Amino acid sequence: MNVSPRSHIYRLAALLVIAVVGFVAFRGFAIPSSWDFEHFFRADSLEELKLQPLQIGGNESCAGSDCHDQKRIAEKVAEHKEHFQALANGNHKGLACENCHGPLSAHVRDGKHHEAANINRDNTLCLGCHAQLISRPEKFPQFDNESTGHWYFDVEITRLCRDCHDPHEPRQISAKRARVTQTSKPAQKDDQTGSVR
Amino acid sequence: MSTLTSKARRAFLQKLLAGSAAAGLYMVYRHPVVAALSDTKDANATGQAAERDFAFVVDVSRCIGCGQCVKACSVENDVPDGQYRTWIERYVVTPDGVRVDSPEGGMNGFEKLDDETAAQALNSFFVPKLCNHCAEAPCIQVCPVGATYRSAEGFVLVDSEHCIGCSYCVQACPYGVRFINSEQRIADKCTWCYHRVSKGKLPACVTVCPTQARMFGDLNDPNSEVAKVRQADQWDVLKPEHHTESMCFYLSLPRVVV
Repeated sequence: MNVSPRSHIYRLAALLVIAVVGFVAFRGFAIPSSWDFEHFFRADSLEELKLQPLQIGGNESCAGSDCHDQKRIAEKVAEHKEHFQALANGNHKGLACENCHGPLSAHVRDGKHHEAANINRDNTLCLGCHAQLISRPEKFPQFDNESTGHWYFDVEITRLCRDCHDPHEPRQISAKRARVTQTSKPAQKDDQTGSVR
Repeated sequence: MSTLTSKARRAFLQKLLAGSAAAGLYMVYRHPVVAALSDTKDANATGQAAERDFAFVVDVSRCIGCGQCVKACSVENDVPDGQYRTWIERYVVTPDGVRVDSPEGGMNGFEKLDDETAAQALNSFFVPKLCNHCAEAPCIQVCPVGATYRSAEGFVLVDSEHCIGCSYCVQACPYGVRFINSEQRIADKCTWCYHRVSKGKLPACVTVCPTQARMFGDLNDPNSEVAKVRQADQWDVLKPEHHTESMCFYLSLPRVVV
């Protein structure tokens, strides 16, 4: 057999070509197809991140929806409207429904009623924001016994806030409710163990 | 060397060479430069035009430390227990020094200070913290695989498919906002609720904040709250000495805050 004296060179060159092409091929397959070489990231990931489902709906989801416009829950419609009115114009203007009633995703799933929204009537929710803490802004209303109303009705922190305050519009103090509860205060005092922070 | 093995080897090498050439041709065809030449439309689509430039504003003087933001964030983003994408710190400045606490990230509010600390407190306030979505983010610079990046709209995001969980970014972030998700074992952090903003909603924490201590918006929209804040030029950023170009502007930020 007549072997070329340069065959070892050819062989080496061929192996080099294979190695280079192999590397380029491997690199090509390792880089995601949507890779953005300018900004150095996988462009498809933006679309993937957008797919994350929403849990918090925001007030517009509750106010703008027609969920409660069905006849069988006409009462609820009226009730919700009233609450929205109070929230929109009152002292609790900044509040989201979900602050107290829990995330929308727990209440509605796949466009259907899933479970009832949270309704917590004890003082926990109120005191979460309104318990007195020196770290809160000074002007922010915090519970004390010295404010005129509280002093007049001798209100302790263990009393239920909602006895007098409407949680959707806390400035709307029901004097009637207050009087009623004032007469029944001793009993209430014993029962209620409001959580004080 | 027998003729038989020599022939077999030669045939094998020839096939390998032919295969490599085919793969090489395919790679050339797929190469972005070639693709760009053959399809200019596609190239324009990836060239990002920034129409919106988002920023976040935190007003320390408004925060009441109720923890609604932390709670909402955890629900919205399914953050594992004990880890927080956003949290609230309570600063208590006393003559003996500064005390900072954040029980459960402030998720369930704060207990009353003990009498001794309360008595000697000179100043006390709450500071909400979250990812600053820096324009010059250290976490992006250190990521070895390009799994974290800043989108054209100003979101610093993590590509969960691409992240290898090496946690370089966790160490690089001067604000400590990154962590390794204990369930997914990859880097996790606040996204400014990118999935919500892309659907026209506000981030979850901004949605539920009862005192508007958190604001979010587009700097290119002159009517937005954040654009006005930046215009008014009374804002601060955390750790400006790191030159991260933080896009989270703080109002009424006491100098003691780190």
